Amino acid sequence: MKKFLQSPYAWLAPALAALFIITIVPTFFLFFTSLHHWELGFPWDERVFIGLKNFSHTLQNPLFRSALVRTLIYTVSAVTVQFILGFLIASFLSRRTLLWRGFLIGSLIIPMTVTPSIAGLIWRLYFNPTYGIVNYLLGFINLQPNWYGYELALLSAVIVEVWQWTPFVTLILLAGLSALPRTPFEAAMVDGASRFQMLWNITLPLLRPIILIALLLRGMDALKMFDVIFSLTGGGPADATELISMLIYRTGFYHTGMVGRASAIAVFLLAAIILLSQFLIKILDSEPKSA
Amino acid sequence: MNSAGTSRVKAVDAIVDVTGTLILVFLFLFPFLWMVSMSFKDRIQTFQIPPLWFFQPTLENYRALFAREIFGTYFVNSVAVIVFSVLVSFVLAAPAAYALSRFDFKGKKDISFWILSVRMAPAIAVVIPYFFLGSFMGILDTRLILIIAYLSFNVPFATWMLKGFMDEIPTEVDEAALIDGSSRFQVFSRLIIPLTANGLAATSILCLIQSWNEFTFALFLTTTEARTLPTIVTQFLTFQGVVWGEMSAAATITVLPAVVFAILVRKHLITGLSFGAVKE
Repeated sequence: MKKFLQSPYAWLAPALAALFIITIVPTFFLFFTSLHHWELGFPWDERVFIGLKNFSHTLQNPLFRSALVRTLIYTVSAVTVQFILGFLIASFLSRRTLLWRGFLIGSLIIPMTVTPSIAGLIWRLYFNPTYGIVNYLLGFINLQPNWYGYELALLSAVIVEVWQWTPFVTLILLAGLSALPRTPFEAAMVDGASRFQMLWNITLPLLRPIILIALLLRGMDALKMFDVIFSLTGGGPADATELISMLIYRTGFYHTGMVGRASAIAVFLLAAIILLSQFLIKILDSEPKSA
Repeated sequence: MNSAGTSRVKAVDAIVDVTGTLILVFLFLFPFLWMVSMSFKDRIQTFQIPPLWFFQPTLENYRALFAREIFGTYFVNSVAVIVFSVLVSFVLAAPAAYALSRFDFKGKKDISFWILSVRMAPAIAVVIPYFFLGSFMGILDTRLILIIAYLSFNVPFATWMLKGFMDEIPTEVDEAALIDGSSRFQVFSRLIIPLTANGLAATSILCLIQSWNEFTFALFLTTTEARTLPTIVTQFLTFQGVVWGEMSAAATITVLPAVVFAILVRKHLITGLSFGAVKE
């Protein structure tokens, strides 16, 4: 026993074995179902092997294409706003004169801890065109947008995502800002650099790895977003907020029981996430771990 | 700078600080507080326009919520699933973290990054095989399948976090103990674990939060018996017209534990959410 514990693999074995069973085996099963035609409710024996047909069908499926475009719009716009807003707030929070910093950081922590499915539900009430608080407040500037309509539904989803996760980007950037070395800035001040020049040429390049980590983490989460959309809009109205994950849900479980097709879409999503996580790992690997 | 100039700068600073603080509170804290306040309004107050900022609070919504049988069931399920899943995660993750922190071996980097990437897998993709494997094994709609499913993100997360905390203990500590004749297991259980107690606590709370908030697995893998609190939204989506107060009460009760826990571990929250990439 004593000798056995000298090997690192003995210590790793339980976790690796468990992860193999609960993640690798299911992933193979997902590949397997993606190669079959099989509908929900039919016996497992009635599956038909159809090779890559589910994949070629997915690629030609206009529903998939529009869901993909929608997911990208949702992800890119949410992450962009989170970054710009997050950077502004982080700069504000690093002001030396600021009182109540602790209280503000506490307030920022709350949105990202709110159960996502609950956040969707609550914002659904806030966006209610007649009784919601959002339109009540917008009434002061004479705006009464219909958030439940087709045009604005995706924007409402972006707003919830921005509300929940801008704090995360903010706090990451704040940690980065507070760890910045002072010498480059002092040198630049001596040289008479403007504030913008310092931001563009010193701050942003120094923060680059941290910014990338924040954006990648948020981007990956937004790509696979399901719970907020489920309770905020249910993918609707019509297909206005049908992101990839909602499409998987509707294809495989809700509207039609095309498990094979849903699996093929899921494989695409999984591949995209794996690809992005490899980028993330590369950054984590090449940079010193602290901000 | 003369004193008039200084005081003008001070005034500008104060204005910027106060305005910024108010905007931040309005954007991020207010939506949360509004939810809590809605949970204390009666039906008429809820739908009043303009909305009521001050009102006589009622506990009616909470009474109605607690009167629903499902609420108790969901709550107990949530607690049971999370406690077991986090406990098992730690039994698996702590030794693995020890190996990754203290041993040098071939493939160490690949293994640790593979573990991390498992954490990123999209639940909506993984849940399809879980659904069918679970149905073949007859464990759908049981707490067991949720406990297993939650291991798939808790084990990688806990391993990665605990490795970070263990890395902070100087290796001299355990080398000295090993030279004194302690076994590896003694070093692990009597030195490393006590020394990382804070890290263990923070990590377990972060695991609690992410398990408590989990929705996708719970929605697909359970129907009635093993449902957890986040899926309570499905109860409200069909007849959302009238019960805003009760919805807010359910939301408040579901959200509150996560928020309290998050404030407790706020120092580690960003480290945890960025998988150790950012230390505060």
